[in-house]
Amino acid sequence: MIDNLKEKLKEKINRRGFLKVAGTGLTILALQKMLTKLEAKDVLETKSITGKRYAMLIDLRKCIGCDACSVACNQENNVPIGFYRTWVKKVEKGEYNNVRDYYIPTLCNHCEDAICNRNCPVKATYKTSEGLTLVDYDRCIGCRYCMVSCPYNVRFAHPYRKTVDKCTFCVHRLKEGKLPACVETCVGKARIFGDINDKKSEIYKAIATNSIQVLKSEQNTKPHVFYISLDIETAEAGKTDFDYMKYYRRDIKKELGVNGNRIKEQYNILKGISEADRKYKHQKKLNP
Amino acid sequence: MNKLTRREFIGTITTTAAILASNNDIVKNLKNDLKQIKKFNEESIPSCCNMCGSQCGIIVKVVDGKVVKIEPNHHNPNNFSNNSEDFFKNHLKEGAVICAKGNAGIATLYDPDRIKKPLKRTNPKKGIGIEPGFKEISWEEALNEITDRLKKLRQNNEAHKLLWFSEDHSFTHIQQDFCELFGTPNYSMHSNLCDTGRKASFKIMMGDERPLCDFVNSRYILLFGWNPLYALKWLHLGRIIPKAMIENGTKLVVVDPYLSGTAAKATEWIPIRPSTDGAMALAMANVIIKNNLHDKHFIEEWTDGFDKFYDYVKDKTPKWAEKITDVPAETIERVAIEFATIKPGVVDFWSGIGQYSNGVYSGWAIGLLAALTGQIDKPGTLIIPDKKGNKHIKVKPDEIAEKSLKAKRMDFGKEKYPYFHSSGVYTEIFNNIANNKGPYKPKIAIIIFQNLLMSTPGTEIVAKALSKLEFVVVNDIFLSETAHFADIVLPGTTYLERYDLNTHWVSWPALGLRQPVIKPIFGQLTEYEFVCELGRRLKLKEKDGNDFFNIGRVSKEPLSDKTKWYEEYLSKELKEGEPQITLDELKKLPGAVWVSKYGTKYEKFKKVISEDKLKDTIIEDKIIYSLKDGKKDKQIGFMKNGIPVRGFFTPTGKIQFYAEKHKEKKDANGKPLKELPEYIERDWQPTQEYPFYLINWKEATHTHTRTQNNIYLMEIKNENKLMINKITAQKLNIKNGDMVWIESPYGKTKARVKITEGIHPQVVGLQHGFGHWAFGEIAKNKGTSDSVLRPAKSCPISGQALHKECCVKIYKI
Amino acid sequence: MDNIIYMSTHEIPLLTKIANYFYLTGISAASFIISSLAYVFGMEKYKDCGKISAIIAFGGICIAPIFLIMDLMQIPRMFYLFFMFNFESPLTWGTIILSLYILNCFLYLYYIFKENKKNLKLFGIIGIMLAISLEAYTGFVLALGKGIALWNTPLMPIYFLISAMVSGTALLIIIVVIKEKFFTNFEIINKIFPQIQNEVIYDLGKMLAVFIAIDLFIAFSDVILLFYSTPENSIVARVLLKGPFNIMFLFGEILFGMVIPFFIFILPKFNKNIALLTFASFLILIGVWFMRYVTVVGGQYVPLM
Repeated sequence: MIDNLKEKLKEKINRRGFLKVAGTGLTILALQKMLTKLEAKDVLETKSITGKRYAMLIDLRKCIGCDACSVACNQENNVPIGFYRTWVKKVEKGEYNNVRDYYIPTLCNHCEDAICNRNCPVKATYKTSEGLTLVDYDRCIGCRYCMVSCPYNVRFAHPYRKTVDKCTFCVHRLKEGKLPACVETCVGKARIFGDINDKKSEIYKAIATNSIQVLKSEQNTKPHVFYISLDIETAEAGKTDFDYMKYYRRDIKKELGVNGNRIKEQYNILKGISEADRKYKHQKKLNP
Repeated sequence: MNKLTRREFIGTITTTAAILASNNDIVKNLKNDLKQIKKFNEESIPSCCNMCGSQCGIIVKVVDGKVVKIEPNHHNPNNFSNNSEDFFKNHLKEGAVICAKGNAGIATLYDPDRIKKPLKRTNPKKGIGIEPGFKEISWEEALNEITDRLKKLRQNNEAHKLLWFSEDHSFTHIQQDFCELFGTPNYSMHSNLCDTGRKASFKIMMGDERPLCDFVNSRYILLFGWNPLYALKWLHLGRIIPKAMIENGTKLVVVDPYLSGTAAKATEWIPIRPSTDGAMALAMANVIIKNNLHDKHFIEEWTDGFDKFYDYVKDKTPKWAEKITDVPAETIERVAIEFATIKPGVVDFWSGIGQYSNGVYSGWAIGLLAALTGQIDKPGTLIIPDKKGNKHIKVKPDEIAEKSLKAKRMDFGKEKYPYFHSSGVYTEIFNNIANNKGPYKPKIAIIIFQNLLMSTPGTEIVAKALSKLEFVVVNDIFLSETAHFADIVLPGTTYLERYDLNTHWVSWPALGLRQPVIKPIFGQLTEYEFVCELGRRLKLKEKDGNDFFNIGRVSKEPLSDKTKWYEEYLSKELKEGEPQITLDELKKLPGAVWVSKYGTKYEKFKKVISEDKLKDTIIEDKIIYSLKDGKKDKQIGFMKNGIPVRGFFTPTGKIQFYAEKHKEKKDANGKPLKELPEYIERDWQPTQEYPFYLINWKEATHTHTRTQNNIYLMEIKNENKLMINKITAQKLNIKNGDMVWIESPYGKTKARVKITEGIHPQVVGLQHGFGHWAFGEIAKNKGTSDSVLRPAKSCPISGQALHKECCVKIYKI
Repeated sequence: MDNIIYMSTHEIPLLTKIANYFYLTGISAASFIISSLAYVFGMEKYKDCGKISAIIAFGGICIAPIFLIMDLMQIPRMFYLFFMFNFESPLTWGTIILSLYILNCFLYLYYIFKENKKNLKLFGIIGIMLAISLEAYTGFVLALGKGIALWNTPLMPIYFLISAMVSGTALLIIIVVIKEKFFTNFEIINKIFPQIQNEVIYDLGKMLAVFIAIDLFIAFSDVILLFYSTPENSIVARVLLKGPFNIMFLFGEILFGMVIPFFIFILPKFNKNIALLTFASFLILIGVWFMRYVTVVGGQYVPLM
């Protein structure tokens, strides 16, 4: 029986056949190597200075809900109208006359244990050695699985580039030693950005000396956007009420009374020359 | 047979995959690499924003001739702090900020709805909703027609029949100069729609029209009717107030009928009935004096008429105030004691007080709280401004102009309004034109950078007035509602395409430059070039024959390039003013901002006037006046026990608890002015039929009626909903999101409702500025305009337009 | 808390095309398993309908990836799925399983018509494993998107598998009945596909009834446990029971899709009536489609932030 099998195998796997199969396998491997080699040649070198971990701290006592961060990010990164990389959720709490407004700015948390990175089938979204979660626009196939996996709903489907997009902590500005656009423009100076592994940085001091919360800690993704004075009741508001679920999904064309052309026009004004488009090429994939 | 097919099969798959993958990835990578080799031509140009009236500093990134990013200018104190110590120590460490409107400037600059070419009206009928039938004409044609008509006016000695309306910060000096040289006294600007009520209150109390608060050093902030975190005029407010509260533990108390953005972050929000804040202030004064917490030393040294004031407030107890204001008496008492004991404390108010018919007296009463506790011009209190910047050099008009300048203003000016502000009284002008009253019938109006139909209360009157004029020219960037009444519409410029000098309103002298970062994108004339061109065509000369609009002020040579001529105009203003530098030197300063090294000075009223300065003065009634051309000019001080000190610029040199001169003055309605800050009810009170107070306010995302076509800002907020208290709504059976009618005796309009807990039950309100019926594709038919609900009425003392005085009824559609 | 302002448009990412994909792979996998009952496990009576179900399996799995590919935003880049793997992602497992399954299906069908019993058994065994993983992996795709409360349960793979079996069997019954009713006069068809007796259909029906019972049980336990769990889970259950998806769920999926067909297949009064059985199978097909849609779209309806 075994001899028979051996014979049969010998028949089937003769030299030519073997060479053919091996040849094709090698070509596939070679192609993949070639592709990865080309990707490694990145103009925007993200040379990882080991040990840096970027994070953001938002002091909600200072946030005044002015939406300057949303608009600054929109123009820095040329975000299409109708989508936001960072936005402010506003909730009113209390009864007359003990009422207050609560403002919760939200953005991608650049989680340590992100679900999106794990779930991408082509590894188009990845984590750099400095802790940023980024999307490679030349690799994303647009399956939107990462959008669905994110428990914070911070990713959106870019309608013109046809990939998935999200906050990048303005990585192109970090290279030049500047702060992200939303941090620079924050009117109440509520956002603090920095390297939490640097014990002398402002953000480390603030985290060490204040009571810190994160959003949805039970999802265990280890987010790196921290909040001071986050009111859980208002952060969770609206998720359990059917009336508010309608407002959650906006129809931006209906609200503004325009058609898709006007919205695309605004995108084309800054296309290719906005700060992010000029400086960040999203080509390199770090940490295989 | 099998092996061959299998081999071929695998072979074809791999090769096709390789080809497809290569097409997508490798070639694309190469393309991207080539793109990166392309160099972009980048520039960073400092300038000043003008999305609202704050003139905060910006740095504009221009790439290949296109504006791509607007960033904060760290050298401009407007964006950082109004206190010089805080500014010099921290501004480079912490960095300045810029608000949502400032960031959205790119969308306004490249807005496809902007006017590109001059337009001429073909439909002679004018009215709201009537199509003007604009056709495009050339600049030459437009300028010719305007010049012809203006020439005719001057020839017939009717130069005073030209009305000029402009915004109150941008290129105002050159427009004023043109009006002087042309010969019309009727130059009006936006301020009387804004805060002339507050100016009058402070003028009566302390002589300086515009004190400001030193929040960063304060420990107790009490605000009446002001929303600094959202009205966000001057970004330093947005930085200071949260910072002061967190780092210094400052208490912020906001008195406002609506839970404004500031009240939402405050330590305490005190809801109050609109227009009754004066009563609360008097009750607070009562409590402070009764508990002996007033600063007797300061009152004796630096104020006047305290005894008469005390006589008046003796019986104005918190209980009396509770009935009027709906604020519990214990709260009034507690706040009064806190304000007087937690020092340094600052109290201030703005349009939530001023835009009512009793606004001037209420404001005076509130301001006096600072005087009672001796908290004037000290660190952490109400600061006397030290605003010095570019100097407006007066022109000398020729004989024709001089004659027509003697005519009365259309709003009768100082004759009628005792605390008249040079910006005029818009409602009076329009009322007079519409009802054929007034000293004469004006013929031509030139309106630059104003949208009168939406920003003035009483839309019907404004429409009627504008349609009665012979010829209306509007210079704007959008086809606004006012532009629809124009005979000629000219395309204007955004702030990124022109020059301006902005003397900043911080507590020490600072001046920021606005310079063009790109050329006007449609090749249009900037507004000052337009005025200069008119001046040249009309051949306007000064008294001594100086061809004003042709000869450069510095080089004294004829300049054909109008922008260069204007640059010299500005250079001279800078050189003669406080900075004493030229325009080119200003451009080279960091951030193009000139900041005086000598920081904030405190207790300026104690400053002794030097011997030098005393030489050019005349003393009358213990008041020291400066001399100009041998005549009495401005008050610069008074004799205090034989020593010349600056003091306060009031008729007595001291803060007035009691204004003696008011006995001789009458307001626009003929009523004598009150000598004490008495509490009087506002004119329009709610009745059975119209039971609700209707108020309006500003929010951080929009500027008045200007930004409703900006797609970034409309994405954030595209509608102004009517805010109603939850219990009130339940009584009227209205639910969240319903459409309702708002009706007043003057008109009615629709609005969408939002239920909130953060508003007084008797009050309804909405954000001002929406409700366009023209202006642009995005702005059209969004939200509600409440100008139709109010009459064209102004405060009879200061000329302040009464935007908030309205009583309405609400019912479902 | 009457006042919440949301900002982003928060569009739902996965919509009908993905639901259709899950539906078709479910039908295909279930058809394959039924076909393998005959050819692998030797149940002779299912041999003829085994042939038909093998064709359904192959047809289904050729159409299903079309939906998947059309749903991508970057269709030309679909080949990246074959070069760039991420073994932690269920979508990569899916790519591998799907490709192997298509190949296997083709070979299985080929050997059915070639009547090569040995290879048939080999590919049948491999095929069963692939078919079960195919349907289970779709469940894992949803279960590993752990932000969404409706999906984050270990029941997902089993739920998908069972409802796949339900839909596959129902489709088979319909096609067999149609063939028997309308296509008996064609010589070619009669040569390749011999006639199928009514008893076979009744047996399929009994199997179907068992599958429906298990499916109902899983659906019920899922929703009940969600309803009495944390507030986030509870609101999802309420969306299905009382909210915007309640008609699709309660009437479409449960009542018409499972309960009524179950009784038709169980009660002796009805379960010998071929026409009624066909009608019940149609209801089942519609019900299972609603199940896919409600799970995919309804799960994403609840705001996460």
